[in-house]
Order: sequence, then structure tokens, then C-alpha cells
Amino acid sequence: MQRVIEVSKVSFAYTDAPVLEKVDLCVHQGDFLAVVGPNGGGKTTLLKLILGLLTPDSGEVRVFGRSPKNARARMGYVPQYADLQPGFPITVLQVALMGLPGSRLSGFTHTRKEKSLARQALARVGVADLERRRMDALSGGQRQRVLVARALASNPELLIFDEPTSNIDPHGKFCFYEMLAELGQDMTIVVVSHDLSVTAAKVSSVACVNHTLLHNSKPEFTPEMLTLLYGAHGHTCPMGEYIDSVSGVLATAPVLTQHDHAGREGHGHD
Amino acid sequence: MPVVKATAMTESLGFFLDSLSMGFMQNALFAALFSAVACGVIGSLVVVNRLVFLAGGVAHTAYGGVGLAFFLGTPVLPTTVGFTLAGSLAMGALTLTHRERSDTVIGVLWASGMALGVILLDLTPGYNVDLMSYLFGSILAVGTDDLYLMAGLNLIILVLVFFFYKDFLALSFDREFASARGAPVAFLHFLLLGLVALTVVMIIRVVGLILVIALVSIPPSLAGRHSSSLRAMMFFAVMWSLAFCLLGLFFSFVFNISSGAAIIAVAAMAYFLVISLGWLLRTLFRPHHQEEP
Repeated sequence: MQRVIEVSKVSFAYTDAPVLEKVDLCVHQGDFLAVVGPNGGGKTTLLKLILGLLTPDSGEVRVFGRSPKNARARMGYVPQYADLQPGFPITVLQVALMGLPGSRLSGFTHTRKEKSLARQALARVGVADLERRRMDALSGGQRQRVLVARALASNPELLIFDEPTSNIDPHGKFCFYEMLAELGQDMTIVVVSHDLSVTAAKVSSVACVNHTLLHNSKPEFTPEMLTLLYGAHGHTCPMGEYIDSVSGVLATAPVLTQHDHAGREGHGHD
Repeated sequence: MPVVKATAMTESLGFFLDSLSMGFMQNALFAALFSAVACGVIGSLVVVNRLVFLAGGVAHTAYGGVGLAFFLGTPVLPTTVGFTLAGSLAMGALTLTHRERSDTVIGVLWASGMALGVILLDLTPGYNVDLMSYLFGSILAVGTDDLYLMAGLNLIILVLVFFFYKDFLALSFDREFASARGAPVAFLHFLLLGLVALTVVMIIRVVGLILVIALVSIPPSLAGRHSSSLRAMMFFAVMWSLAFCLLGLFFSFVFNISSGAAIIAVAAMAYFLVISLGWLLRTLFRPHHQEEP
């Protein structure tokens, strides 16, 4: 199977304290990887290294066998909506168009072909009927779908999400996971989140990042991973019991999703 | 009493319209048009990128350029353009990586540019009365040479914004996505600041460097309220600022007040009126505030 992302012995520090130390990760074609970890653990840094927004201090990142900067055309990126501005005059269609390279010579306008590609991407995530609405008139879940459409417009083979559900209500969150699972049938997906419920999105493997990285090629958390996330706790500590209970729940998470899926089909999406 | 006022108003309107045939008045109208275009287009980028404070800093730095021109005896507008460009690019270099600290840097350059201008003018022999027109503007004193320069600057601004429109849109909406897509973010950051410098210098002649900040921020923020795109925001901002400049010019004529201040007063009144009306409508028709299609 083709290797999509290869991270080998990567270390990175913003100042003196290293954020990531000797991190290894390998993502194959068709994988659906969830990267979880506490805030400040280096998840977003890892993601920025893969996107080529940061350069590792040591080690190497390869995407589709090339340097991340040369693989940009094949990657789609969905950032957190929290970074975006309210009151920005832009419609849904224009946001989706932003995902296409676009020609500078055409100035303020887009070609018909570009518009049709953007509309296809919007339809794929189920927001085609919103194309004329302004971005700031949408709900958190709708906005997030538009940002996914923007990443999909250029037809990427790898889709990278940063905290995709942080602005979505709990119900919308599971609808969103369902959409991710559907997209995962056609492309490789990496989702970064501090929310462990992301594993309910039918992921194929999980990685835990907290300065170092542990990767499990099954959609389960190992006790070592949970120790990396929460630190070692004795059984007298309430955290220890919590870890035990969580590792039980999360191991069965994919089954939970199927129940959820069946229950919701009666009353449709969103 | 109202009848008398109305007659006086009609008379002033007649006088105003008569004056339009005079050279200085035609220059003023062209100056209003050119500044409106620059303000609307660049002001929109300034507002959506939240660079209003920076634009104010650039405007005040420009005073250093005015001082330099008088000190060296060089033509004022070209010298100021050069100096302000250099100042704004310096601000760009200092704010590119540490955006969170940019307000301090802007504050420092804001005041030091101004101080440099004052010192250079102190060192220049003789006292130039024309100086006040750079602080508070004087649209009626715009000469033909200035108009050519303004037209040239406008052309540069429009061509560059047309060519880099999609890049500016991506940069303004979502800087991180733009750089992940490989947009030349640093170049665009400097380009935008350079364009802000050109715009600011152009508007200094109209409203003065102290009032520039209002003409860069008010028309775009009014235009952005219901626009469905950045280009629509730019267009409506041009219309708003043209209206403000013409109305301000008219009031300055009728009431014999400074043109720069009159233009800003009109803009500010329109701004508060629109904001309060919007608030009133939202409160009266509460359930959903629908955007215009």
C-alpha cells in the first residue's frame, strides 16, 4: 500500500522547550487516522509540519514521497473555524472557490468550470442549497461543512482536519463524523482533536501525541496511550478509574456509532 | 424662519453649483473621486484585515515625510510617498511574525514619524502656512500636478488589487489556509501595507493625516454590513466615500467650515445613523435578521 505521510524522527521546538521529540508516524493510502492529545501536546504542531507550514528542527516529513511544500496540491486542509472572522463579507460559494488555485488574470471573477467544481464540492458535503448565504449567517456545523467543501474543491487525495468539531453541538458532531466516514471511503483522512469521541468516526487507527507519539494501527487506545495522555495514575487516584472506564468505552466506540447511525436515519440529517 | 433657511440653502446650492465651473473646484471634485476609489478599495482590505490602527500609524508617519520634503526642499507629495512607503514596510517587517505585538510597534512608529516631521520643520528656515493643509487637509487647494500623481497612484492600486484579488481574499479570510495552499503570504502582507501607504498619502490632501483613519474605516465598514463579497464591499465603499466627500465639500462651502472636518463629520453622522437604524430594525423585527440576497 502506498505511503501517504511519512514522519521520521521529527523533533520541533518553538523556543527552547521541545514540543515534539523524535516522532515517527506512517499513514497509508485509505487510512483514517485520529490524532488525539492534550492541548499543548504538539498535535497542531505535527499537523503544521505535515502541511509544510513549519519545518522540523531534525528528522524528515514526506507527503506522497515528496517534501510537504511540493505535495500541497494533493492535500486538503480544514482549519478550525474559531480562527475565522465574523462579519466578513463572503458567501458560501466564494469560500468553496477559494480551495481552487484560480487565475490571477481573471481578477475578481471565476470561470464557469471553477464554479461548477466548487458547487460539486458543496453538494458532496450536503450544503449545496446554501451557496448564496453569507458565511456568518450559518450555524457552526454548516460552516464547518463549507470549509470541508473548500478543501474538497481541488479534489485532494489526503484530507487534514484541525479540531473539526470544536464549534459543533453534540448532535451535529456525530452527523459530522458520519460525513467524515463517508469521505474516508475515497481518500486518506487525518483528524486532529483533543476530543476522544473522534474515535467514534469509524477511524481505522489512532495516534496519541504528547511530546512523543504512540500509534496504534487499530481504532483502540492502548493503556500506554492513555498513560501518555493523562500521565500515570495509581488505582487509588480517581483518574486511574476514569482511564480504566474510558479505555473500555472507547474500545467499543465503533459499535456505538452504528447504533447511533441506525437511530438517526429515521429523522434525517441536521 | 424655515422658509428663510430654505432660501439661504437654495442660494448656497446655486453658488455651489456655479463654483463647479471654476478650476479649483473641478480639481477638488477629481480629488474626491480619486480618493474615494483608493479609500473604498484599500479601506475594505484594511477593515477586513483589522489594520485600521496600522493605517492610522502609517498616516501619522507620513508627517515625517512632509517634514523631510520641506527640509530638503523637494516636492512634497512624491517625497511623502517615498517616506511613508518606507515607514509602512518597516511596520510590515516588525509585525509579520509577531502580530500580537503589532499594536506597540505601530504606536511607536506613529509617534516617532510625527516627531521627526515636527523636528525637521523646526530646522527648516521660515514658516510655511501650507503645513496645516497636511494635518487637516484642504481638498480645495489640490493642484493639477497632485491630481496627476493621484490618478497614477490609483491606477497602480487598481491594477495590483485586480491581479492579486484572490490572494488578498484568501489572506484576509483565512491566513493559515492561504499559506497551506502556498499563497505568498509574506509578499502579500508587504504589498498590502505598501498599498495602504499610497492610499494614505493620497487622502492626506483631502482630509489631512489626522482624519485619514476615518475615511479609511467608515465607508468600508458601512459597505461591509450587507455585501456578499469583498469586491461588492469595495464597490459600495467607493460609493459611500464619494458621497461623503461631495456632501462634506458642499457643507464646507455652505457653512464656511474646514473641508476635511466637514467630510469626516458627514461620514461619522452617516455611520452612527446606519448603526442605530440597523440596531432599531433588529430590535423591532427580532426573530431573524435576514441578510440581503
